[in-house]
Amino acid sequence: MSSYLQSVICEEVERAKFLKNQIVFPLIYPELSGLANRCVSILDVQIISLENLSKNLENYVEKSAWRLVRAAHRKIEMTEQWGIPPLYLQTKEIGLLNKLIFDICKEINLPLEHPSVACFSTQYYYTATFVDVIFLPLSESAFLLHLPDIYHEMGHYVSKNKNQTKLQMIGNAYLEVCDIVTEYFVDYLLKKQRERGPEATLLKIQNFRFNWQKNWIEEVFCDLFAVFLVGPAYAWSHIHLVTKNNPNIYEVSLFGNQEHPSDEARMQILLIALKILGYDDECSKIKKEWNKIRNQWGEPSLEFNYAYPYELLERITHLFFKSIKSSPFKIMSSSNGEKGSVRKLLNDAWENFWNLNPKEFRQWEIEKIGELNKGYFG
Amino acid sequence: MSDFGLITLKFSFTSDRLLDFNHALDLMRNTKNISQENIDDSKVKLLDILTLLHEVIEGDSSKITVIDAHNIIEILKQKHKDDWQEFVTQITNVIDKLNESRPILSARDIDCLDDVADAIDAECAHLFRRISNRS
Repeated sequence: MSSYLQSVICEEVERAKFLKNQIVFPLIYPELSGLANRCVSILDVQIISLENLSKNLENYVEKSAWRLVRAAHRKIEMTEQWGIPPLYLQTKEIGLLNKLIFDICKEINLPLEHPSVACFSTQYYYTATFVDVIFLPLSESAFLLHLPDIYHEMGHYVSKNKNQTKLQMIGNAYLEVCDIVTEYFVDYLLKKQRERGPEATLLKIQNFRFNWQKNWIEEVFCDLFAVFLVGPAYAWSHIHLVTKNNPNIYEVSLFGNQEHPSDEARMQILLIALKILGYDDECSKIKKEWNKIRNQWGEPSLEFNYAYPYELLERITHLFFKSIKSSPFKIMSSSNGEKGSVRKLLNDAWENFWNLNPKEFRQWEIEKIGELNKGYFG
Repeated sequence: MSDFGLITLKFSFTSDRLLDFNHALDLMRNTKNISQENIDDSKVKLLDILTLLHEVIEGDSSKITVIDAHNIIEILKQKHKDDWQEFVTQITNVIDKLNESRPILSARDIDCLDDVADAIDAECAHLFRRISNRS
Protein backbone atom coordinates (compact mmCIF):
# COMPACT_ATOMS: atom_id res chain seq x y z
CA MET A 1 0.00 0.00 0.00
CA SER A 2 1.43 3.39 -0.93
CA SER A 3 3.01 5.60 1.70
CA TYR A 4 1.28 8.50 -0.07
CA LEU A 5 -2.07 7.04 1.02
CA GLN A 6 -0.83 6.83 4.63
CA SER A 7 0.35 10.46 4.46
CA VAL A 8 -2.99 11.66 3.14
CA ILE A 9 -4.83 9.81 5.90
CA CYS A 10 -2.57 11.38 8.52
CA GLU A 11 -3.05 14.87 7.06
CA GLU A 12 -6.84 14.51 6.99
CA VAL A 13 -6.93 13.34 10.61
CA GLU A 14 -4.87 16.37 11.68
CA ARG A 15 -7.11 18.69 9.66
CA ALA A 16 -10.23 17.30 11.34
CA LYS A 17 -8.62 17.72 14.77
CA PHE A 18 -7.66 21.31 13.95
CA LEU A 19 -11.25 22.12 12.97
CA LYS A 20 -12.56 20.59 16.17
CA ASN A 21 -10.27 22.92 18.10
CA GLN A 22 -11.86 25.94 16.43
CA ILE A 23 -15.09 25.24 18.34
CA VAL A 24 -14.51 26.92 21.66
CA PHE A 25 -16.76 25.92 24.55
CA PRO A 26 -18.64 27.44 26.27
CA LEU A 27 -20.28 28.95 23.20
CA ILE A 28 -21.28 32.61 23.24
CA TYR A 29 -24.73 31.62 21.96
CA PRO A 30 -26.01 28.36 23.47
CA GLU A 31 -28.51 28.10 20.57
CA LEU A 32 -25.51 27.06 18.47
CA SER A 33 -24.77 24.06 20.68
CA GLY A 34 -26.73 21.73 18.38
CA LEU A 35 -24.51 22.75 15.46
CA ALA A 36 -21.37 22.43 17.58
CA ASN A 37 -22.37 18.91 18.56
CA ARG A 38 -23.18 17.99 14.95
CA CYS A 39 -19.80 19.25 13.73
CA VAL A 40 -17.87 17.52 16.51
CA SER A 41 -19.76 14.33 15.81
CA ILE A 42 -19.12 14.45 12.03
CA LEU A 43 -15.43 15.19 12.59
CA ASP A 44 -15.07 12.47 15.24
CA VAL A 45 -16.59 9.89 12.90
CA GLN A 46 -14.08 10.86 10.19
CA ILE A 47 -11.15 10.79 12.62
CA ILE A 48 -12.10 7.34 13.93
CA SER A 49 -12.76 5.96 10.45
CA LEU A 50 -9.45 7.30 9.10
CA GLU A 51 -7.46 6.11 12.11
CA ASN A 52 -8.99 2.63 11.78
CA LEU A 53 -8.20 2.63 8.09
CA SER A 54 -4.62 3.65 8.80
CA LYS A 55 -4.16 0.86 11.38
CA ASN A 56 -5.67 -1.83 9.16
CA LEU A 57 -4.57 -0.62 5.77
CA GLU A 58 -3.16 -4.01 4.80
CA ASN A 59 -6.68 -5.45 4.95
CA TYR A 60 -7.96 -3.09 2.28
CA VAL A 61 -7.74 -3.12 -1.49
CA GLU A 62 -6.09 0.18 -2.44
CA LYS A 63 -9.05 1.33 -4.55
CA SER A 64 -11.42 0.82 -1.66
CA ALA A 65 -9.11 2.61 0.78
CA TRP A 66 -8.89 5.65 -1.48
CA ARG A 67 -12.67 5.77 -1.78
CA LEU A 68 -12.92 5.85 2.02
CA VAL A 69 -10.29 8.58 2.28
CA ARG A 70 -12.05 10.71 -0.32
CA ALA A 71 -15.41 10.22 1.40
CA ALA A 72 -13.91 11.36 4.72
CA HIS A 73 -12.10 14.27 3.06
CA ARG A 74 -15.34 15.56 1.50
CA LYS A 75 -17.13 15.42 4.84
CA ILE A 76 -14.29 17.20 6.65
CA GLU A 77 -14.17 19.91 4.00
CA MET A 78 -17.95 20.37 4.02
CA THR A 79 -17.93 20.69 7.80
CA GLU A 80 -15.17 23.28 7.43
CA GLN A 81 -17.12 25.20 4.78
CA TRP A 82 -20.62 25.15 6.24
CA GLY A 83 -20.51 24.12 9.88
CA ILE A 84 -17.43 25.64 11.46
CA PRO A 85 -17.67 29.30 10.27
CA PRO A 86 -20.81 30.28 12.27
CA LEU A 87 -19.27 28.64 15.33
CA TYR A 88 -15.92 30.33 14.77
CA LEU A 89 -17.42 33.76 14.09
CA GLN A 90 -20.40 33.87 16.51
CA THR A 91 -21.23 37.48 15.59
CA LYS A 92 -24.17 39.32 17.13
CA GLU A 93 -26.12 38.87 13.87
CA ILE A 94 -25.55 35.11 14.02
CA GLY A 95 -26.63 35.17 17.67
CA LEU A 96 -29.85 37.07 16.89
CA LEU A 97 -30.88 34.83 14.02
CA ASN A 98 -30.16 31.66 15.97
CA LYS A 99 -32.26 32.87 18.88
CA LEU A 100 -34.98 33.74 16.36
CA ILE A 101 -34.97 30.30 14.77
CA PHE A 102 -34.97 28.73 18.21
CA ASP A 103 -38.20 30.63 18.95
CA ILE A 104 -39.67 29.69 15.55
CA CYS A 105 -39.02 26.01 16.25
CA LYS A 106 -40.83 26.31 19.59
CA GLU A 107 -43.76 28.18 18.02
CA ILE A 108 -44.33 25.71 15.23
CA ASN A 109 -43.61 22.75 17.51
CA LEU A 110 -40.83 21.31 15.36
CA PRO A 111 -40.37 17.73 16.58
CA LEU A 112 -36.65 17.74 15.75
CA GLU A 113 -33.52 19.37 17.07
CA HIS A 114 -33.55 22.95 15.77
CA PRO A 115 -31.40 23.78 12.72
CA SER A 116 -28.86 26.60 12.96
CA VAL A 117 -28.47 29.84 11.02
CA ALA A 118 -25.47 31.60 9.52
CA CYS A 119 -25.67 35.00 7.89
CA PHE A 120 -22.89 35.29 5.34
CA SER A 121 -24.62 33.81 2.33
CA THR A 122 -23.74 35.22 -1.06
CA GLN A 123 -26.66 33.40 -2.75
CA TYR A 124 -29.83 34.53 -0.98
CA TYR A 125 -31.27 31.77 1.29
CA TYR A 126 -30.12 28.17 1.18
CA THR A 127 -29.73 25.22 3.51
CA ALA A 128 -26.64 23.15 4.03
CA THR A 129 -28.56 20.04 5.05
CA PHE A 130 -25.25 18.28 5.64
CA VAL A 131 -24.79 20.22 8.90
CA ASP A 132 -28.37 21.57 9.10
CA VAL A 133 -27.37 25.20 8.75
CA ILE A 134 -29.63 27.72 7.00
CA PHE A 135 -27.61 30.42 5.27
CA LEU A 136 -28.93 33.96 4.90
CA PRO A 137 -27.36 37.15 3.59
CA LEU A 138 -25.76 39.36 6.28
CA SER A 139 -28.41 42.10 6.12
CA GLU A 140 -31.28 39.73 6.90
CA SER A 141 -30.71 40.26 10.61
CA ALA A 142 -31.78 43.89 10.13
CA PHE A 143 -34.88 43.37 7.93
CA LEU A 144 -38.11 41.43 8.22
CA LEU A 145 -39.75 41.15 4.80
CA HIS A 146 -37.74 38.22 3.42
CA LEU A 147 -37.44 36.33 6.70
CA PRO A 148 -40.53 34.16 5.97
CA ASP A 149 -38.28 32.36 3.47
CA ILE A 150 -36.54 30.82 6.46
CA TYR A 151 -39.63 28.58 6.82
CA HIS A 152 -39.08 27.26 3.27
CA GLU A 153 -35.52 26.35 4.25
CA MET A 154 -36.84 24.64 7.37
CA GLY A 155 -39.02 22.65 4.98
CA HIS A 156 -35.84 21.14 3.49
CA TYR A 157 -34.76 20.18 7.00
CA VAL A 158 -38.14 18.58 7.72
CA SER A 159 -38.10 16.81 4.37
CA LYS A 160 -34.66 15.40 5.11
CA ASN A 161 -36.09 13.87 8.29
CA LYS A 162 -39.44 12.82 6.85
CA ASN A 163 -38.87 9.16 7.53
CA GLN A 164 -38.50 9.67 11.27
CA THR A 165 -41.44 8.27 13.26
CA LYS A 166 -42.83 11.67 14.24
CA LEU A 167 -42.81 12.84 10.63
CA GLN A 168 -43.98 9.62 9.08
CA MET A 169 -47.20 11.21 7.77
CA ILE A 170 -45.04 13.55 5.70
CA GLY A 171 -42.94 10.65 4.44
CA ASN A 172 -46.10 8.83 3.43
CA ALA A 173 -47.48 11.94 1.71
CA TYR A 174 -44.28 12.18 -0.35
CA LEU A 175 -44.82 8.66 -1.61
CA GLU A 176 -48.46 9.38 -2.36
CA VAL A 177 -47.61 12.59 -4.19
CA CYS A 178 -44.98 10.73 -6.18
CA ASP A 179 -47.60 8.16 -7.16
CA ILE A 180 -50.15 10.71 -8.33
CA VAL A 181 -47.50 12.61 -10.29
CA THR A 182 -46.41 9.37 -11.96
CA GLU A 183 -50.01 8.35 -12.64
CA TYR A 184 -50.86 11.74 -14.08
CA PHE A 185 -47.92 11.89 -16.50
CA VAL A 186 -48.10 8.22 -17.48
CA ASP A 187 -51.80 8.64 -18.36
CA TYR A 188 -51.00 11.80 -20.24
CA LEU A 189 -48.17 10.14 -22.11
CA LEU A 190 -50.37 7.19 -23.10
CA LYS A 191 -53.06 9.58 -24.30
CA LYS A 192 -50.58 11.43 -26.50
CA GLN A 193 -49.15 8.14 -27.77
CA ARG A 194 -52.64 6.98 -28.77
CA GLU A 195 -53.17 10.28 -30.54
CA ARG A 196 -49.87 9.60 -32.34
CA GLY A 197 -48.46 12.89 -31.04
CA PRO A 198 -45.03 14.03 -32.21
CA GLU A 199 -42.00 12.45 -30.57
CA ALA A 200 -40.98 15.85 -29.16
CA THR A 201 -44.25 16.12 -27.21
CA LEU A 202 -43.72 12.70 -25.67
CA LEU A 203 -40.20 13.64 -24.63
CA LYS A 204 -41.46 16.88 -23.07
CA ILE A 205 -44.04 15.02 -21.00
CA GLN A 206 -41.36 12.61 -19.81
CA ASN A 207 -39.18 15.56 -18.88
CA PHE A 208 -41.97 17.22 -16.88
CA ARG A 209 -42.44 14.02 -14.93
CA PHE A 210 -38.69 13.72 -14.43
CA ASN A 211 -38.45 17.26 -13.05
CA TRP A 212 -41.45 16.76 -10.77
CA GLN A 213 -39.96 13.61 -9.31
CA LYS A 214 -36.40 14.80 -9.13
CA ASN A 215 -36.88 18.38 -7.94
CA TRP A 216 -40.33 19.89 -7.82
CA ILE A 217 -42.08 17.66 -5.29
CA GLU A 218 -39.42 18.65 -2.76
CA GLU A 219 -39.60 22.37 -3.58
CA VAL A 220 -43.40 22.36 -3.56
CA PHE A 221 -43.35 20.65 -0.18
CA CYS A 222 -41.01 23.35 1.18
CA ASP A 223 -43.25 26.12 -0.18
CA LEU A 224 -46.30 24.50 1.38
CA PHE A 225 -44.52 23.86 4.65
CA ALA A 226 -43.65 27.57 4.76
CA VAL A 227 -47.11 28.87 3.91
CA PHE A 228 -48.88 26.48 6.28
CA LEU A 229 -46.56 27.45 9.12
CA VAL A 230 -46.11 31.20 8.63
CA GLY A 231 -49.19 32.08 6.57
CA PRO A 232 -49.57 34.91 4.04
CA ALA A 233 -46.20 36.47 4.90
CA TYR A 234 -44.56 33.68 2.89
CA ALA A 235 -46.59 34.42 -0.24
CA TRP A 236 -45.80 38.13 0.12
CA SER A 237 -42.15 37.35 0.56
CA HIS A 238 -42.25 35.26 -2.60
CA ILE A 239 -43.82 38.10 -4.58
CA HIS A 240 -41.16 40.42 -3.19
CA LEU A 241 -38.37 38.13 -4.37
CA VAL A 242 -39.89 37.63 -7.82
CA THR A 243 -40.44 41.38 -8.24
CA LYS A 244 -36.83 42.11 -7.38
CA ASN A 245 -35.33 39.35 -9.52
CA ASN A 246 -37.79 39.43 -12.42
CA PRO A 247 -37.42 35.82 -13.56
CA ASN A 248 -39.66 34.28 -16.24
CA ILE A 249 -42.60 33.29 -14.03
CA TYR A 250 -43.74 30.74 -16.61
CA GLU A 251 -40.40 28.95 -16.80
CA VAL A 252 -40.70 25.36 -17.92
CA SER A 253 -37.72 23.38 -19.12
CA LEU A 254 -38.77 21.21 -22.04
CA PHE A 255 -35.78 18.93 -22.28
CA GLY A 256 -33.52 19.48 -19.30
CA ASN A 257 -33.19 19.76 -15.58
CA GLN A 258 -35.10 22.54 -13.81
CA GLU A 259 -34.47 22.82 -10.09
CA HIS A 260 -37.57 24.83 -9.12
CA PRO A 261 -41.08 24.78 -10.54
CA SER A 262 -42.10 28.04 -12.20
CA ASP A 263 -43.03 30.96 -9.96
CA GLU A 264 -46.53 31.05 -11.43
CA ALA A 265 -47.11 27.41 -10.43
CA ARG A 266 -45.65 28.12 -7.02
CA MET A 267 -47.96 31.10 -6.54
CA GLN A 268 -50.98 29.03 -7.60
CA ILE A 269 -50.04 26.49 -4.94
CA LEU A 270 -49.58 29.18 -2.29
CA LEU A 271 -52.99 30.65 -3.09
CA ILE A 272 -54.67 27.24 -2.83
CA ALA A 273 -52.91 26.76 0.53
CA LEU A 274 -53.98 30.16 1.87
CA LYS A 275 -57.59 29.37 0.94
CA ILE A 276 -57.33 26.12 2.88
CA LEU A 277 -56.07 28.10 5.89
CA GLY A 278 -59.00 30.50 5.59
CA TYR A 279 -57.06 33.58 4.51
CA ASP A 280 -59.61 34.64 1.89
CA ASP A 281 -59.02 38.40 2.18
CA GLU A 282 -55.25 38.09 2.06
CA CYS A 283 -55.62 35.74 -0.87
CA SER A 284 -57.44 38.40 -2.87
CA LYS A 285 -54.81 41.02 -2.02
CA ILE A 286 -51.94 38.69 -2.94
CA LYS A 287 -53.67 37.65 -6.15
CA LYS A 288 -54.16 41.28 -7.12
CA GLU A 289 -50.48 42.04 -6.61
CA TRP A 290 -49.39 38.84 -8.36
CA ASN A 291 -51.60 39.65 -11.35
CA LYS A 292 -49.55 42.80 -11.91
CA ILE A 293 -46.49 40.58 -12.39
CA ARG A 294 -48.48 38.16 -14.55
CA ASN A 295 -49.63 40.98 -16.81
CA GLN A 296 -46.03 41.84 -17.46
CA TRP A 297 -45.39 38.29 -18.71
CA GLY A 298 -48.61 37.75 -20.66
CA GLU A 299 -50.10 34.31 -21.05
CA PRO A 300 -48.26 31.06 -20.28
CA SER A 301 -47.26 28.67 -23.05
CA LEU A 302 -49.22 25.51 -23.78
CA GLU A 303 -46.34 23.53 -22.29
CA PHE A 304 -46.75 25.42 -19.03
CA ASN A 305 -50.26 24.03 -18.63
CA TYR A 306 -49.01 20.53 -19.47
CA ALA A 307 -46.24 20.75 -16.88
CA TYR A 308 -48.26 22.30 -14.06
CA PRO A 309 -51.89 21.20 -14.42
CA TYR A 310 -54.01 23.01 -11.83
CA GLU A 311 -55.81 19.84 -10.70
CA LEU A 312 -52.45 18.22 -9.92
CA LEU A 313 -51.28 21.28 -7.97
CA GLU A 314 -54.53 21.22 -6.02
CA ARG A 315 -54.26 17.52 -5.16
CA ILE A 316 -50.64 17.86 -4.06
CA THR A 317 -51.46 20.88 -1.88
CA HIS A 318 -54.29 19.03 -0.12
CA LEU A 319 -52.18 15.92 0.41
CA PHE A 320 -49.28 17.83 1.92
CA PHE A 321 -51.66 19.92 4.04
CA LYS A 322 -53.20 16.77 5.47
CA SER A 323 -49.76 15.35 6.26
CA ILE A 324 -48.41 18.50 7.91
CA LYS A 325 -51.62 18.90 9.91
CA SER A 326 -51.42 15.29 11.09
CA SER A 327 -47.80 15.81 12.19
CA PRO A 328 -46.95 17.59 15.46
CA PHE A 329 -46.74 21.02 13.77
CA LYS A 330 -48.81 23.99 14.89
CA ILE A 331 -50.33 25.19 11.64
CA MET A 332 -50.90 28.92 11.07
CA SER A 333 -54.50 30.05 10.73
CA SER A 334 -56.35 33.30 10.20
CA SER A 335 -57.85 33.03 13.67
CA ASN A 336 -54.48 32.28 15.22
CA GLY A 337 -53.38 35.57 16.86
CA GLU A 338 -50.34 34.37 18.79
CA LYS A 339 -49.41 37.73 20.21
CA GLY A 340 -45.66 38.17 20.44
CA SER A 341 -44.81 35.28 18.16
CA VAL A 342 -42.24 35.49 15.37
CA ARG A 343 -44.77 34.49 12.73
CA LYS A 344 -47.19 37.17 13.93
CA LEU A 345 -44.35 39.69 13.67
CA LEU A 346 -43.55 38.60 10.11
CA ASN A 347 -47.19 38.90 9.04
CA ASP A 348 -47.49 42.27 10.81
CA ALA A 349 -44.42 43.39 8.89
CA TRP A 350 -46.16 42.72 5.60
CA GLU A 351 -49.38 44.40 6.74
CA ASN A 352 -47.42 47.47 7.77
CA PHE A 353 -45.39 47.40 4.60
CA TRP A 354 -48.58 47.94 2.62
CA ASN A 355 -50.22 50.35 5.06
CA LEU A 356 -47.38 52.68 6.03
CA ASN A 357 -45.24 54.91 3.86
CA PRO A 358 -41.72 53.56 3.18
CA LYS A 359 -40.01 55.72 5.82
CA GLU A 360 -42.63 54.99 8.45
CA PHE A 361 -42.37 51.30 7.65
CA ARG A 362 -38.59 51.27 7.97
CA GLN A 363 -38.89 53.08 11.29
CA TRP A 364 -41.39 50.46 12.49
CA GLU A 365 -39.12 47.66 11.24
CA ILE A 366 -36.07 49.13 13.03
CA GLU A 367 -38.09 49.37 16.24
CA LYS A 368 -39.20 45.75 15.97
CA ILE A 369 -35.67 44.51 15.27
CA GLY A 370 -34.53 46.61 18.24
CA GLU A 371 -37.18 44.94 20.42
CA LEU A 372 -36.00 41.53 19.25
CA ASN A 373 -32.41 42.40 20.11
CA LYS A 374 -33.46 43.81 23.48
CA GLY A 375 -35.53 40.72 24.23
CA TYR A 376 -32.66 38.42 23.38
CA PHE A 377 -29.65 40.35 24.63
CA GLY A 378 -31.12 42.73 27.23
CA MET B 1 -34.77 29.11 -1.85
CA SER B 2 -31.93 27.78 -3.88
CA ASP B 3 -31.19 24.27 -5.13
CA PHE B 4 -28.42 24.06 -2.55
CA GLY B 5 -30.64 22.24 -0.08
CA LEU B 6 -31.46 19.56 -2.60
CA ILE B 7 -27.87 19.08 -3.68
CA THR B 8 -26.56 18.80 -0.13
CA LEU B 9 -29.33 16.34 0.63
CA LYS B 10 -28.35 14.30 -2.43
CA PHE B 11 -24.71 14.54 -1.42
CA SER B 12 -25.35 13.26 2.11
CA PHE B 13 -27.51 10.44 0.88
CA THR B 14 -25.15 9.40 -1.92
CA SER B 15 -22.17 9.56 0.46
CA ASP B 16 -23.91 7.23 2.89
CA ARG B 17 -24.75 4.81 0.06
CA LEU B 18 -21.10 4.89 -1.06
CA LEU B 19 -19.88 3.92 2.41
CA ASP B 20 -22.49 1.16 2.66
CA PHE B 21 -21.66 -0.14 -0.81
CA ASN B 22 -17.91 0.01 -0.26
CA HIS B 23 -18.15 -1.76 3.08
CA ALA B 24 -20.40 -4.46 1.62
CA LEU B 25 -18.07 -4.90 -1.33
CA ASP B 26 -15.04 -5.27 0.99
CA LEU B 27 -16.88 -8.02 2.88
CA MET B 28 -17.84 -9.83 -0.30
CA ARG B 29 -14.27 -9.90 -1.63
CA ASN B 30 -13.66 -12.88 0.60
CA THR B 31 -16.64 -14.40 2.36
CA LYS B 32 -14.80 -17.36 3.91
CA ASN B 33 -14.90 -16.24 7.53
CA ILE B 34 -17.88 -13.94 7.27
CA SER B 35 -21.09 -14.70 9.14
CA GLN B 36 -24.29 -15.34 7.17
CA GLU B 37 -25.83 -12.29 8.85
CA ASN B 38 -23.06 -10.03 7.53
CA ILE B 39 -23.33 -11.60 4.09
CA ASP B 40 -27.09 -11.02 4.03
CA ASP B 41 -26.61 -7.44 5.12
CA SER B 42 -23.96 -6.87 2.42
CA LYS B 43 -26.16 -8.43 -0.24
CA VAL B 44 -28.99 -6.03 0.63
CA LYS B 45 -26.66 -3.03 0.40
CA LEU B 46 -25.19 -4.09 -2.93
CA LEU B 47 -28.53 -5.09 -4.42
CA ASP B 48 -30.09 -1.81 -3.30
CA ILE B 49 -27.84 0.06 -5.73
CA LEU B 50 -27.45 -2.57 -8.45
CA THR B 51 -31.19 -3.17 -8.80
CA LEU B 52 -31.85 0.55 -9.05
CA LEU B 53 -29.18 0.97 -11.74
CA HIS B 54 -30.47 -2.07 -13.60
CA GLU B 55 -34.06 -0.80 -13.55
CA VAL B 56 -33.05 2.60 -14.85
CA ILE B 57 -30.85 1.05 -17.56
CA GLU B 58 -33.85 -1.05 -18.60
CA GLY B 59 -35.85 2.16 -18.94
CA ASP B 60 -37.87 2.15 -15.73
CA SER B 61 -37.35 5.57 -14.20
CA SER B 62 -40.62 5.66 -12.32
CA LYS B 63 -38.90 5.29 -8.96
CA ILE B 64 -38.21 8.45 -7.01
CA THR B 65 -34.80 8.20 -5.44
CA VAL B 66 -32.51 10.72 -3.86
CA ILE B 67 -29.51 8.98 -5.38
CA ASP B 68 -29.15 10.00 -9.02
CA ALA B 69 -29.05 6.70 -10.89
CA HIS B 70 -28.95 8.46 -14.26
CA ASN B 71 -25.74 10.29 -13.38
CA ILE B 72 -24.11 7.13 -12.05
CA ILE B 73 -25.06 5.27 -15.22
CA GLU B 74 -23.58 8.07 -17.34
CA ILE B 75 -20.31 7.76 -15.41
CA LEU B 76 -20.32 3.99 -15.95
CA LYS B 77 -21.10 4.43 -19.65
CA GLN B 78 -18.11 6.74 -19.96
CA LYS B 79 -15.84 4.04 -18.57
CA HIS B 80 -17.49 1.24 -20.52
CA LYS B 81 -18.20 2.98 -23.80
CA ASP B 82 -16.61 0.13 -25.75
CA ASP B 83 -18.25 -2.75 -23.89
CA TRP B 84 -21.45 -1.23 -22.48
CA GLN B 85 -23.81 -4.10 -23.31
CA GLU B 86 -21.34 -6.58 -21.89
CA PHE B 87 -21.10 -4.53 -18.69
CA VAL B 88 -24.90 -4.39 -18.38
CA THR B 89 -25.00 -8.19 -18.72
CA GLN B 90 -22.32 -8.39 -16.05
CA ILE B 91 -24.47 -6.28 -13.67
CA THR B 92 -27.38 -8.67 -14.31
CA ASN B 93 -25.15 -11.65 -13.55
CA VAL B 94 -23.97 -10.11 -10.29
CA ILE B 95 -27.57 -9.37 -9.30
CA ASP B 96 -28.49 -13.01 -9.97
CA LYS B 97 -25.55 -14.24 -7.90
CA LEU B 98 -26.34 -11.88 -5.03
CA ASN B 99 -29.83 -13.33 -4.90
CA GLU B 100 -28.28 -16.67 -3.94
CA SER B 101 -27.96 -17.51 -0.25
CA ARG B 102 -24.14 -17.54 -0.05
CA PRO B 103 -22.85 -16.11 -3.29
CA ILE B 104 -19.32 -16.66 -4.49
CA LEU B 105 -18.26 -13.74 -6.61
CA SER B 106 -15.65 -14.10 -9.34
CA ALA B 107 -12.84 -11.57 -9.95
CA ARG B 108 -14.92 -10.24 -12.84
CA ASP B 109 -17.93 -9.75 -10.55
CA ILE B 110 -15.77 -7.90 -8.04
CA ASP B 111 -14.35 -5.68 -10.81
CA CYS B 112 -17.89 -4.86 -11.85
CA LEU B 113 -18.80 -3.89 -8.27
CA ASP B 114 -15.59 -1.86 -7.97
CA ASP B 115 -16.59 0.06 -11.10
CA VAL B 116 -20.00 0.80 -9.61
CA ALA B 117 -18.37 1.94 -6.34
CA ASP B 118 -16.03 4.21 -8.33
CA ALA B 119 -19.02 5.66 -10.17
CA ILE B 120 -20.85 6.42 -6.91
CA ASP B 121 -17.61 7.98 -5.63
CA ALA B 122 -17.40 10.13 -8.78
CA GLU B 123 -21.06 11.18 -8.34
CA CYS B 124 -20.27 12.22 -4.74
CA ALA B 125 -17.32 14.25 -6.03
CA HIS B 126 -19.57 15.85 -8.65
CA LEU B 127 -22.18 16.82 -6.03
CA PHE B 128 -19.42 18.04 -3.73
CA ARG B 129 -18.07 20.33 -6.47
CA ARG B 130 -21.57 21.66 -7.15
CA ILE B 131 -22.07 22.43 -3.47
CA SER B 132 -18.76 24.22 -3.31
CA ASN B 133 -19.59 26.10 -6.53
CA ARG B 134 -16.58 24.71 -8.23
CA SER B 135 -18.37 23.46 -11.31
